[in-house]
Amino acid sequence: MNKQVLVAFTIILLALATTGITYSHWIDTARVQTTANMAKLAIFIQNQNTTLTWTMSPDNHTLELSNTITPGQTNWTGIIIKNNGTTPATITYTIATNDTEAEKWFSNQTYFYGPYAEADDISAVWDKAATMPPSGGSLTPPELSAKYRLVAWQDITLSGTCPPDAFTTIKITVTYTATFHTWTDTVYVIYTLTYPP
Amino acid sequence: MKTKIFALIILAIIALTSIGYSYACLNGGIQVNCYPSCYCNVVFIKVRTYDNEIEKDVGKVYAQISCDGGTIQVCIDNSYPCYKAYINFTIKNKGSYPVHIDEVTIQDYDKTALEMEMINIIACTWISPCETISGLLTVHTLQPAQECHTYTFKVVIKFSCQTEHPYTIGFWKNQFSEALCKSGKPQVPASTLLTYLNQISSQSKIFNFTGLQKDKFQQALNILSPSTSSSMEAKLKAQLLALWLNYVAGWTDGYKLDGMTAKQIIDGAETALIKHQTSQYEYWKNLCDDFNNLGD
Repeated sequence: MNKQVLVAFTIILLALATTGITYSHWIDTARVQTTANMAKLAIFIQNQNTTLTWTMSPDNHTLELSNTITPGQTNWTGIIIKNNGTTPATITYTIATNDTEAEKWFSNQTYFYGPYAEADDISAVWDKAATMPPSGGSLTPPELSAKYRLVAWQDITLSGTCPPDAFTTIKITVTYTATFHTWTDTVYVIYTLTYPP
Repeated sequence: MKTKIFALIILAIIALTSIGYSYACLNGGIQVNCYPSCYCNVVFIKVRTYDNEIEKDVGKVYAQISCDGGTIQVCIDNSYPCYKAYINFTIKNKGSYPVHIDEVTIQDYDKTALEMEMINIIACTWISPCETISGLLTVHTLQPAQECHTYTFKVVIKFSCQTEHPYTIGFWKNQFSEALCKSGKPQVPASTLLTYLNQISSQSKIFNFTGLQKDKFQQALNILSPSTSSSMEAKLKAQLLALWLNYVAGWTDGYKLDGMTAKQIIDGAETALIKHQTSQYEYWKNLCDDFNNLGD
Protein backbone atom coordinates (compact mmCIF):
# COMPACT_ATOMS: atom_id res chain seq x y z
CA MET A 1 0.00 0.00 0.00
CA ASN A 2 2.82 2.33 0.98
CA LYS A 3 4.52 1.63 -2.35
CA GLN A 4 1.39 2.59 -4.24
CA VAL A 5 1.13 5.83 -2.31
CA LEU A 6 4.78 6.59 -2.98
CA VAL A 7 4.36 5.90 -6.69
CA ALA A 8 1.29 8.15 -6.83
CA PHE A 9 3.12 10.83 -4.87
CA THR A 10 6.12 10.65 -7.23
CA ILE A 11 3.88 10.82 -10.30
CA ILE A 12 2.16 13.92 -8.97
CA LEU A 13 5.48 15.58 -8.19
CA LEU A 14 6.82 14.75 -11.66
CA ALA A 15 3.65 16.03 -13.29
CA LEU A 16 3.86 19.30 -11.38
CA ALA A 17 7.55 19.66 -12.18
CA THR A 18 6.91 18.97 -15.87
CA THR A 19 4.12 21.54 -15.90
CA GLY A 20 6.42 24.08 -14.34
CA ILE A 21 9.25 23.40 -16.77
CA THR A 22 6.92 23.51 -19.74
CA TYR A 23 5.31 26.72 -18.59
CA SER A 24 8.59 28.43 -17.93
CA HIS A 25 10.09 27.44 -21.28
CA TRP A 26 11.35 30.50 -23.04
CA ILE A 27 9.32 31.93 -25.89
CA ASP A 28 11.80 32.30 -28.71
CA THR A 29 9.38 33.88 -31.14
CA ALA A 30 6.70 36.48 -30.76
CA ARG A 31 3.91 36.73 -33.27
CA VAL A 32 1.44 39.33 -34.44
CA GLN A 33 -1.34 37.44 -36.16
CA THR A 34 -3.68 39.58 -38.18
CA THR A 35 -6.99 38.97 -39.88
CA ALA A 36 -8.31 41.74 -42.08
CA ASN A 37 -11.97 41.42 -43.06
CA MET A 38 -12.88 43.66 -45.94
CA ALA A 39 -16.02 45.74 -46.06
CA LYS A 40 -18.76 45.52 -48.68
CA LEU A 41 -20.33 48.24 -50.79
CA ALA A 42 -23.74 47.19 -52.11
CA ILE A 43 -26.92 48.98 -53.03
CA PHE A 44 -30.12 47.59 -54.50
CA ILE A 45 -33.59 48.75 -55.50
CA GLN A 46 -35.71 47.74 -52.56
CA ASN A 47 -39.05 48.81 -53.99
CA GLN A 48 -40.68 50.66 -56.89
CA ASN A 49 -43.80 52.75 -57.27
CA THR A 50 -44.90 53.31 -60.86
CA THR A 51 -47.87 53.19 -63.17
CA LEU A 52 -45.72 51.90 -66.02
CA THR A 53 -45.25 48.25 -66.87
CA TRP A 54 -42.20 47.08 -64.95
CA THR A 55 -39.84 44.16 -64.46
CA MET A 56 -37.10 43.86 -61.86
CA SER A 57 -33.89 41.92 -62.40
CA PRO A 58 -33.30 39.02 -59.98
CA ASP A 59 -30.47 40.90 -58.25
CA ASN A 60 -32.68 43.99 -57.79
CA HIS A 61 -30.17 46.09 -59.66
CA THR A 62 -32.17 46.93 -62.78
CA LEU A 63 -35.74 48.15 -62.99
CA GLU A 64 -37.09 48.11 -66.53
CA LEU A 65 -40.15 50.24 -67.29
CA SER A 66 -42.07 50.36 -70.51
CA ASN A 67 -45.13 52.11 -71.86
CA THR A 68 -46.41 54.35 -74.57
CA ILE A 69 -46.11 58.05 -74.15
CA THR A 70 -48.07 60.91 -75.62
CA PRO A 71 -47.25 64.64 -75.93
CA GLY A 72 -47.62 66.43 -72.61
CA GLN A 73 -47.69 63.18 -70.64
CA THR A 74 -45.87 63.00 -67.28
CA ASN A 75 -44.79 59.75 -65.67
CA TRP A 76 -43.75 59.79 -62.02
CA THR A 77 -41.74 56.78 -60.90
CA GLY A 78 -40.48 56.24 -57.39
CA ILE A 79 -37.78 53.87 -56.22
CA ILE A 80 -36.26 53.04 -52.86
CA ILE A 81 -32.51 52.50 -52.96
CA LYS A 82 -31.08 50.67 -49.98
CA ASN A 83 -27.44 50.58 -48.92
CA ASN A 84 -27.07 46.92 -48.09
CA GLY A 85 -23.31 47.11 -47.57
CA THR A 86 -21.16 47.84 -44.55
CA THR A 87 -19.76 51.18 -45.65
CA PRO A 88 -21.37 54.55 -46.24
CA ALA A 89 -22.06 55.39 -49.87
CA THR A 90 -22.14 58.59 -51.87
CA ILE A 91 -24.94 58.41 -54.42
CA THR A 92 -24.78 60.11 -57.80
CA TYR A 93 -27.03 59.75 -60.81
CA THR A 94 -26.89 60.30 -64.54
CA ILE A 95 -29.46 60.12 -67.34
CA ALA A 96 -28.70 59.03 -70.88
CA THR A 97 -30.78 58.10 -73.91
CA ASN A 98 -30.15 56.15 -77.07
CA ASP A 99 -31.58 58.91 -79.25
CA THR A 100 -29.93 62.28 -78.89
CA GLU A 101 -32.26 63.86 -81.44
CA ALA A 102 -35.43 62.79 -79.68
CA GLU A 103 -34.25 63.45 -76.14
CA LYS A 104 -34.68 67.19 -76.58
CA TRP A 105 -38.44 66.66 -76.40
CA PHE A 106 -38.15 65.20 -72.92
CA SER A 107 -37.71 66.87 -69.59
CA ASN A 108 -37.14 65.28 -66.20
CA GLN A 109 -36.96 66.12 -62.55
CA THR A 110 -35.59 63.97 -59.77
CA TYR A 111 -36.17 64.48 -56.05
CA PHE A 112 -34.49 62.63 -53.21
CA TYR A 113 -35.75 61.93 -49.70
CA GLY A 114 -33.90 60.49 -46.75
CA PRO A 115 -31.78 58.84 -45.60
CA TYR A 116 -34.09 56.59 -43.63
CA ALA A 117 -33.39 53.70 -41.33
CA GLU A 118 -35.21 50.48 -42.09
CA ALA A 119 -37.61 51.07 -39.21
CA ASP A 120 -38.46 54.64 -40.22
CA ASP A 121 -41.95 55.40 -41.54
CA ILE A 122 -41.57 56.68 -45.10
CA SER A 123 -45.20 56.51 -46.16
CA ALA A 124 -45.49 60.31 -46.42
CA VAL A 125 -42.91 60.36 -49.18
CA TRP A 126 -43.78 57.03 -50.64
CA ASP A 127 -47.20 55.46 -51.02
CA LYS A 128 -49.24 58.10 -49.13
CA ALA A 129 -47.69 61.22 -50.58
CA ALA A 130 -50.23 64.06 -50.69
CA THR A 131 -48.65 65.69 -53.76
CA MET A 132 -46.35 64.60 -56.48
CA PRO A 133 -43.52 65.10 -55.95
CA PRO A 134 -43.82 64.77 -52.16
CA SER A 135 -42.77 67.88 -50.29
CA GLY A 136 -39.34 68.18 -48.70
CA GLY A 137 -37.38 66.65 -51.51
CA SER A 138 -33.82 67.51 -52.40
CA LEU A 139 -32.28 67.80 -55.83
CA THR A 140 -29.10 66.07 -54.68
CA PRO A 141 -28.98 62.55 -53.27
CA PRO A 142 -28.13 62.25 -49.56
CA GLU A 143 -25.10 60.42 -48.19
CA LEU A 144 -26.32 56.92 -47.48
CA SER A 145 -24.98 55.21 -44.38
CA ALA A 146 -24.77 51.44 -44.17
CA LYS A 147 -28.24 49.81 -43.97
CA TYR A 148 -29.98 53.12 -44.69
CA ARG A 149 -32.21 53.83 -47.67
CA LEU A 150 -33.39 56.74 -49.74
CA VAL A 151 -36.45 57.48 -51.82
CA ALA A 152 -36.06 58.90 -55.32
CA TRP A 153 -38.97 60.25 -57.33
CA GLN A 154 -38.45 61.04 -60.98
CA ASP A 155 -40.77 62.32 -63.62
CA ILE A 156 -40.27 61.91 -67.33
CA THR A 157 -42.35 64.33 -69.36
CA LEU A 158 -42.75 64.47 -73.12
CA SER A 159 -43.21 67.98 -74.48
CA GLY A 160 -46.71 68.83 -75.69
CA THR A 161 -45.20 70.16 -78.94
CA CYS A 162 -43.35 66.99 -79.83
CA PRO A 163 -44.00 66.28 -83.52
CA PRO A 164 -45.53 62.88 -84.41
CA ASP A 165 -42.47 61.71 -86.30
CA ALA A 166 -39.90 62.73 -83.66
CA PHE A 167 -39.18 59.09 -82.69
CA THR A 168 -40.82 55.72 -82.43
CA THR A 169 -39.10 54.23 -79.38
CA ILE A 170 -36.62 55.76 -77.00
CA LYS A 171 -34.64 54.13 -74.25
CA ILE A 172 -33.82 56.34 -71.27
CA THR A 173 -31.35 54.95 -68.78
CA VAL A 174 -31.03 56.46 -65.31
CA THR A 175 -27.93 55.27 -63.50
CA TYR A 176 -27.60 55.55 -59.72
CA THR A 177 -24.05 54.95 -58.58
CA ALA A 178 -22.91 54.36 -55.01
CA THR A 179 -19.28 55.22 -54.37
CA PHE A 180 -16.99 54.60 -51.43
CA HIS A 181 -13.33 55.30 -52.13
CA THR A 182 -12.60 53.27 -55.25
CA TRP A 183 -15.45 50.86 -54.81
CA THR A 184 -18.70 51.39 -56.71
CA ASP A 185 -22.04 49.70 -57.11
CA THR A 186 -24.73 50.73 -59.55
CA VAL A 187 -28.44 50.29 -60.06
CA TYR A 188 -30.37 51.20 -63.20
CA VAL A 189 -33.83 52.39 -64.08
CA ILE A 190 -34.42 51.89 -67.78
CA TYR A 191 -37.41 53.42 -69.49
CA THR A 192 -38.45 52.09 -72.88
CA LEU A 193 -41.05 54.51 -74.18
CA THR A 194 -42.95 54.07 -77.41
CA TYR A 195 -44.37 57.03 -79.26
CA PRO A 196 -47.50 55.93 -81.15
CA PRO A 197 -47.87 57.30 -84.72
CA MET B 1 -4.03 5.02 9.15
CA LYS B 2 -0.81 5.54 7.15
CA THR B 3 -2.83 5.64 3.94
CA LYS B 4 -4.99 8.40 5.34
CA ILE B 5 -1.94 10.41 6.35
CA PHE B 6 -0.38 10.05 2.89
CA ALA B 7 -3.66 11.03 1.27
CA LEU B 8 -3.86 14.09 3.49
CA ILE B 9 -0.28 15.05 2.64
CA ILE B 10 -0.92 14.70 -1.09
CA LEU B 11 -4.11 16.72 -0.82
CA ALA B 12 -2.24 19.39 1.13
CA ILE B 13 0.51 19.52 -1.54
CA ILE B 14 -2.04 19.83 -4.33
CA ALA B 15 -3.96 22.51 -2.45
CA LEU B 16 -0.82 24.52 -1.70
CA THR B 17 0.42 24.14 -5.28
CA SER B 18 -2.93 25.30 -6.63
CA ILE B 19 -2.98 28.33 -4.35
CA GLY B 20 0.58 29.22 -5.36
CA TYR B 21 -0.15 28.70 -9.05
CA SER B 22 -3.31 30.81 -8.89
CA TYR B 23 -1.50 33.58 -7.09
CA ALA B 24 1.35 33.48 -9.61
CA CYS B 25 -1.06 33.61 -12.54
CA LEU B 26 -2.81 36.58 -10.97
CA ASN B 27 0.53 38.35 -10.72
CA GLY B 28 1.77 37.79 -14.24
CA GLY B 29 2.62 34.11 -14.45
CA ILE B 30 5.19 31.70 -13.20
CA GLN B 31 8.89 32.12 -13.85
CA VAL B 32 11.44 29.60 -12.78
CA ASN B 33 14.18 31.87 -11.54
CA CYS B 34 17.22 29.80 -10.68
CA TYR B 35 19.05 32.58 -8.90
CA PRO B 36 21.26 34.47 -9.62
CA SER B 37 20.30 34.62 -13.30
CA CYS B 38 19.49 31.95 -15.78
CA TYR B 39 16.35 32.56 -17.68
CA CYS B 40 15.14 34.21 -20.84
CA ASN B 41 11.66 35.56 -21.22
CA VAL B 42 10.35 38.02 -23.77
CA VAL B 43 6.68 38.89 -23.84
CA PHE B 44 4.26 41.40 -25.21
CA ILE B 45 3.05 43.53 -22.34
CA LYS B 46 0.96 46.19 -24.02
CA VAL B 47 -0.94 46.71 -27.25
CA ARG B 48 -2.98 49.65 -28.46
CA THR B 49 -4.74 50.14 -31.76
CA TYR B 50 -6.02 53.06 -33.72
CA ASP B 51 -6.74 53.98 -37.32
CA ASN B 52 -6.62 56.85 -39.78
CA GLU B 53 -10.34 57.62 -39.79
CA ILE B 54 -11.22 61.15 -38.79
CA GLU B 55 -14.84 61.80 -39.76
CA LYS B 56 -16.55 58.49 -40.37
CA ASP B 57 -16.03 55.47 -38.19
CA VAL B 58 -16.24 52.65 -40.71
CA GLY B 59 -13.31 50.33 -40.13
CA LYS B 60 -12.40 48.83 -36.79
CA VAL B 61 -9.20 47.37 -35.42
CA TYR B 62 -8.89 45.31 -32.27
CA ALA B 63 -5.91 43.56 -30.71
CA GLN B 64 -5.39 41.25 -27.78
CA ILE B 65 -2.33 39.72 -26.19
CA SER B 66 -2.48 35.99 -25.61
CA CYS B 67 -2.29 34.63 -22.07
CA ASP B 68 1.33 33.55 -22.51
CA GLY B 69 2.32 36.97 -23.86
CA GLY B 70 3.80 35.43 -26.99
CA THR B 71 1.17 36.44 -29.51
CA ILE B 72 -0.93 39.44 -30.40
CA GLN B 73 -4.15 38.63 -32.20
CA VAL B 74 -5.21 41.52 -34.40
CA CYS B 75 -8.60 41.73 -36.05
CA ILE B 76 -9.32 44.41 -38.62
CA ASP B 77 -13.02 44.62 -39.48
CA ASN B 78 -14.79 46.38 -42.30
CA SER B 79 -11.59 47.52 -43.96
CA TYR B 80 -11.58 49.33 -47.29
CA PRO B 81 -9.09 50.97 -49.67
CA CYS B 82 -7.04 53.68 -47.96
CA TYR B 83 -7.90 52.37 -44.48
CA LYS B 84 -4.85 52.26 -42.24
CA ALA B 85 -4.79 50.31 -39.00
CA TYR B 86 -2.02 50.97 -36.50
CA ILE B 87 -1.00 48.41 -33.91
CA ASN B 88 1.28 49.88 -31.28
CA PHE B 89 2.80 47.26 -29.01
CA THR B 90 5.41 46.95 -26.32
CA ILE B 91 7.78 44.04 -25.81
CA LYS B 92 9.49 43.52 -22.50
CA ASN B 93 12.51 41.44 -21.68
CA LYS B 94 11.37 39.87 -18.43
CA GLY B 95 14.36 37.57 -18.30
CA SER B 96 17.74 38.09 -16.77
CA TYR B 97 19.76 37.83 -19.96
CA PRO B 98 19.88 40.29 -22.84
CA VAL B 99 17.80 39.20 -25.77
CA HIS B 100 18.71 39.68 -29.38
CA ILE B 101 16.14 40.26 -32.11
CA ASP B 102 17.44 37.93 -34.79
CA GLU B 103 14.83 38.41 -37.43
CA VAL B 104 11.57 40.20 -38.12
CA THR B 105 9.56 38.65 -40.92
CA ILE B 106 6.16 39.36 -42.31
CA GLN B 107 5.03 36.03 -43.60
CA ASP B 108 3.49 35.68 -47.02
CA TYR B 109 0.46 37.87 -47.68
CA ASP B 110 -1.37 39.45 -50.60
CA LYS B 111 0.85 42.41 -51.45
CA THR B 112 -1.63 43.70 -54.00
CA ALA B 113 -4.21 44.23 -51.28
CA LEU B 114 -2.21 45.10 -48.20
CA GLU B 115 0.90 47.06 -47.40
CA MET B 116 2.69 46.44 -44.14
CA GLU B 117 5.24 48.45 -42.29
CA MET B 118 6.98 47.62 -39.03
CA ILE B 119 8.59 50.51 -37.22
CA ASN B 120 11.15 50.25 -34.41
CA ILE B 121 11.31 46.47 -34.19
CA ILE B 122 14.31 45.66 -36.31
CA ALA B 123 16.68 42.77 -36.51
CA CYS B 124 20.04 42.96 -34.73
CA THR B 125 18.62 44.96 -31.84
CA TRP B 126 19.36 44.04 -28.25
CA ILE B 127 16.84 44.23 -25.44
CA SER B 128 18.44 44.38 -22.03
CA PRO B 129 16.88 42.69 -19.02
CA CYS B 130 13.83 44.65 -17.82
CA GLU B 131 14.05 46.86 -20.90
CA THR B 132 10.96 47.47 -23.01
CA ILE B 133 10.80 48.39 -26.65
CA SER B 134 7.82 49.59 -28.56
CA GLY B 135 6.96 48.80 -32.13
CA LEU B 136 4.36 50.05 -34.54
CA LEU B 137 2.80 47.85 -37.18
CA THR B 138 0.89 49.69 -39.89
CA VAL B 139 -1.53 47.78 -42.08
CA HIS B 140 -2.55 49.76 -45.13
CA THR B 141 -5.40 48.49 -47.29
CA LEU B 142 -4.65 49.17 -50.94
CA GLN B 143 -6.96 50.05 -53.82
CA PRO B 144 -7.14 46.56 -55.35
CA ALA B 145 -8.32 45.00 -52.08
CA GLN B 146 -11.44 42.97 -52.73
CA GLU B 147 -14.76 43.55 -51.06
CA CYS B 148 -15.98 40.90 -48.61
CA HIS B 149 -12.58 39.23 -48.66
CA THR B 150 -10.53 38.09 -45.70
CA TYR B 151 -6.78 38.60 -45.71
CA THR B 152 -4.54 37.07 -43.10
CA PHE B 153 -0.88 37.46 -42.33
CA LYS B 154 1.58 36.91 -39.56
CA VAL B 155 4.53 38.91 -38.30
CA VAL B 156 7.13 36.73 -36.62
CA ILE B 157 9.81 38.20 -34.42
CA LYS B 158 12.60 35.74 -33.66
CA PHE B 159 14.71 36.16 -30.57
CA SER B 160 17.79 34.56 -29.19
CA CYS B 161 19.12 34.83 -25.70
CA GLN B 162 22.59 36.02 -24.76
CA THR B 163 23.51 33.32 -22.28
CA GLU B 164 27.01 34.63 -21.76
CA HIS B 165 27.78 37.55 -19.50
CA PRO B 166 30.74 39.74 -18.61
CA TYR B 167 33.28 38.24 -16.23
CA THR B 168 35.11 39.87 -13.36
CA ILE B 169 38.71 40.92 -13.19
CA GLY B 170 39.40 37.82 -11.05
CA PHE B 171 38.19 35.54 -13.80
CA TRP B 172 40.57 37.11 -16.32
CA LYS B 173 43.48 37.00 -13.89
CA ASN B 174 42.90 33.28 -13.52
CA GLN B 175 42.93 32.78 -17.27
CA PHE B 176 46.27 34.53 -17.72
CA SER B 177 47.76 32.90 -14.62
CA GLU B 178 46.91 29.45 -15.94
CA ALA B 179 48.17 30.36 -19.39
CA LEU B 180 51.45 31.34 -17.80
CA CYS B 181 51.48 27.97 -15.96
CA LYS B 182 51.17 29.58 -12.60
CA SER B 183 47.81 28.78 -11.12
CA GLY B 184 44.07 28.81 -11.77
CA LYS B 185 41.65 26.78 -13.79
CA PRO B 186 41.50 27.85 -17.46
CA GLN B 187 38.25 28.36 -19.28
CA VAL B 188 39.62 30.40 -22.16
CA PRO B 189 42.36 28.72 -24.23
CA ALA B 190 45.71 30.50 -24.45
CA SER B 191 45.36 30.93 -28.21
CA THR B 192 42.06 32.73 -27.67
CA LEU B 193 43.57 34.94 -25.00
CA LEU B 194 46.34 35.89 -27.40
CA THR B 195 43.80 36.74 -30.08
CA TYR B 196 41.93 38.91 -27.59
CA LEU B 197 45.10 40.80 -26.60
CA ASN B 198 46.01 41.36 -30.25
CA GLN B 199 42.53 42.70 -30.94
CA ILE B 200 42.77 45.03 -27.95
CA SER B 201 46.19 46.23 -29.06
CA SER B 202 44.85 47.16 -32.46
CA GLN B 203 41.70 48.90 -31.15
CA SER B 204 42.73 50.44 -27.85
CA LYS B 205 44.35 53.84 -27.39
CA ILE B 206 45.72 52.74 -24.01
CA PHE B 207 46.83 49.14 -24.24
CA ASN B 208 49.52 47.79 -26.51
CA PHE B 209 50.78 44.29 -25.81
CA THR B 210 54.14 43.52 -27.34
CA GLY B 211 56.64 40.70 -27.47
CA LEU B 212 56.04 36.99 -27.40
CA GLN B 213 52.85 35.37 -26.17
CA LYS B 214 54.33 34.91 -22.73
CA ASP B 215 55.32 38.57 -22.58
CA LYS B 216 51.89 39.72 -23.62
CA PHE B 217 50.20 37.49 -21.06
CA GLN B 218 52.50 38.76 -18.32
CA GLN B 219 51.80 42.36 -19.30
CA ALA B 220 48.06 41.67 -19.16
CA LEU B 221 48.35 39.90 -15.82
CA ASN B 222 50.35 42.77 -14.38
CA ILE B 223 47.73 45.28 -15.48
CA LEU B 224 44.94 43.10 -14.09
CA SER B 225 46.65 42.77 -10.70
CA PRO B 226 47.01 46.19 -9.11
CA SER B 227 47.69 46.19 -5.41
CA THR B 228 45.40 47.89 -2.93
CA SER B 229 47.92 50.69 -2.66
CA SER B 230 48.11 51.20 -6.41
CA SER B 231 47.04 54.47 -7.94
CA MET B 232 43.50 55.05 -9.20
CA GLU B 233 44.96 55.11 -12.70
CA ALA B 234 46.29 51.55 -12.26
CA LYS B 235 42.97 50.39 -10.81
CA LEU B 236 41.08 51.99 -13.71
CA LYS B 237 43.39 50.32 -16.24
CA ALA B 238 42.85 46.96 -14.55
CA GLN B 239 39.06 47.20 -14.76
CA LEU B 240 39.29 48.71 -18.24
CA LEU B 241 41.37 45.80 -19.51
CA ALA B 242 38.91 43.30 -18.02
CA LEU B 243 36.10 45.16 -19.78
CA TRP B 244 38.08 45.14 -23.03
CA LEU B 245 38.53 41.39 -22.70
CA ASN B 246 34.81 40.90 -22.07
CA TYR B 247 34.08 43.14 -25.02
CA VAL B 248 36.32 41.39 -27.54
CA ALA B 249 35.03 38.04 -26.27
CA GLY B 250 31.51 39.17 -27.21
CA TRP B 251 30.28 38.74 -23.65
CA THR B 252 29.12 42.32 -23.27
CA ASP B 253 26.69 42.13 -26.22
CA GLY B 254 23.26 43.24 -25.21
CA TYR B 255 24.25 44.53 -21.80
CA LYS B 256 23.99 48.14 -20.76
CA LEU B 257 24.91 49.97 -17.60
CA ASP B 258 23.41 53.35 -16.85
CA GLY B 259 22.25 53.37 -20.46
CA MET B 260 25.78 52.85 -21.78
CA THR B 261 27.16 49.93 -23.74
CA ALA B 262 30.53 48.42 -22.91
CA LYS B 263 32.12 50.17 -25.87
CA GLN B 264 30.80 53.54 -24.76
CA ILE B 265 32.26 53.01 -21.30
CA ILE B 266 35.56 51.86 -22.80
CA ASP B 267 35.71 54.97 -24.98
CA GLY B 268 34.85 57.20 -22.02
CA ALA B 269 37.46 55.62 -19.79
CA GLU B 270 40.17 55.78 -22.46
CA THR B 271 39.40 59.42 -23.16
CA ALA B 272 39.71 60.20 -19.47
CA LEU B 273 43.09 58.42 -19.36
CA ILE B 274 44.38 60.11 -22.51
CA LYS B 275 43.33 63.54 -21.30
CA HIS B 276 44.61 62.81 -17.80
CA GLN B 277 41.24 63.68 -16.26
CA THR B 278 42.30 62.28 -12.92
CA SER B 279 39.12 63.41 -11.20
CA GLN B 280 37.18 61.14 -13.56
CA TYR B 281 39.27 58.02 -13.02
CA GLU B 282 37.29 56.67 -10.09
CA TYR B 283 33.98 57.24 -11.89
CA TRP B 284 35.13 55.29 -14.95
CA LYS B 285 36.82 52.64 -12.82
CA ASN B 286 33.56 52.04 -10.97
CA LEU B 287 31.59 51.87 -14.21
CA CYS B 288 34.04 49.33 -15.69
CA ASP B 289 33.94 47.37 -12.43
CA ASP B 290 30.15 47.37 -12.30
CA PHE B 291 29.93 46.30 -15.93
CA ASN B 292 32.38 43.46 -15.34
CA ASN B 293 30.18 42.35 -12.48
CA LEU B 294 26.90 42.33 -14.43
CA GLY B 295 27.08 38.56 -14.64
CA ASP B 296 27.12 38.16 -10.88
